[in-house]
Amino acid sequence: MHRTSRLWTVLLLGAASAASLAQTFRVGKEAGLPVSQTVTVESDADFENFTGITHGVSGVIRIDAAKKTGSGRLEIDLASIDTGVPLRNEHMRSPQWLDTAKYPTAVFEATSVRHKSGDTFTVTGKLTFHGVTRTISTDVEARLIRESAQSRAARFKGDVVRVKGQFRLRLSDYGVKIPDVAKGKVAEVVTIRFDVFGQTG
Amino acid sequence: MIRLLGVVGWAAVAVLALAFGLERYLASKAVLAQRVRLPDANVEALFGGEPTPIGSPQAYVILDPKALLPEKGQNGVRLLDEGYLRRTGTYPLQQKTVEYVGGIVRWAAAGVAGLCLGNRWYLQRRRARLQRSRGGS
Repeated sequence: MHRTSRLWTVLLLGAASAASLAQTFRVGKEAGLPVSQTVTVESDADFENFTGITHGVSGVIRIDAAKKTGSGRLEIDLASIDTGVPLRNEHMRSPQWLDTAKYPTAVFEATSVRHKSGDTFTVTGKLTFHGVTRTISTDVEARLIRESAQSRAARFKGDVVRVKGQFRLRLSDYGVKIPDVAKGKVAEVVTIRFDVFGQTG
Repeated sequence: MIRLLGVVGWAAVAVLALAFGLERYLASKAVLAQRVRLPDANVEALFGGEPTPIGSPQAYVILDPKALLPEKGQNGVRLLDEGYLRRTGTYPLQQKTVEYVGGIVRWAAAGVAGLCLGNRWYLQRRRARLQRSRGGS
């Protein structure tokens, strides 16, 4: 009886320590990361392909390495997207397009993370963009680097995670209408790519 | 009127020829390339030196070869240094844009040339017929 209860205690402690393996990684400038985040949005239209870039990404990524699962919340500053042409940036921020004065950020909240293979995970979550929230699912590549002399030398604090992936987004699904004058210049479906870093320290 | 139609018509033919020539010249400078952002030294130290792609590979008209990196990407695609483009304020022209604009210019020039030279030919014939009929009576 005594031995059985001790065994249960060991098992419970083991489960508790496994649960405590879930770590929170902070993303963005506020987290003091020594690298910048990159989110790009690519429009492939008849006239040209253009890619908007922003490094304005912040939020948290929670990872349970033992269970190979996680969650998270990322916020993207839409007003900081740079397409390489100042006039186009201005148009993009205007009320006719993204209306960044009213909807300054896009927010992604991961609700489910399933391990696929190797470093690949299938992430499902809610994307709120232009005032509309929809569920999306995509594969991401996540690499976790434990704190080491090398990570400290690279000026990271604590454990480091890098998450990369891409998904496609239909603008009309989020209430963004392409004006007639821009047809052929902006694609109805755009590709979003992200390459973000987080650290625990 | 006939002279004006001739001038405009032949000018349109010249524009058509110029558009063809310019398009061919720019096509000769086009390179299939992937815009990339080179990794920060800190990222390279931990995750390796793989650059971050910006958009998908495109045929770019490269007039400044310094924008191309010596390394090649997947399937031999040339790598275009995003940092260099930003530093120099270069917005690389795409082959598809040249074709798109070239197509519009060609059709418009061909239309104007056809309309003007066709009308000029018709008016010249009518005038000649009128002169013949006047001479005959």
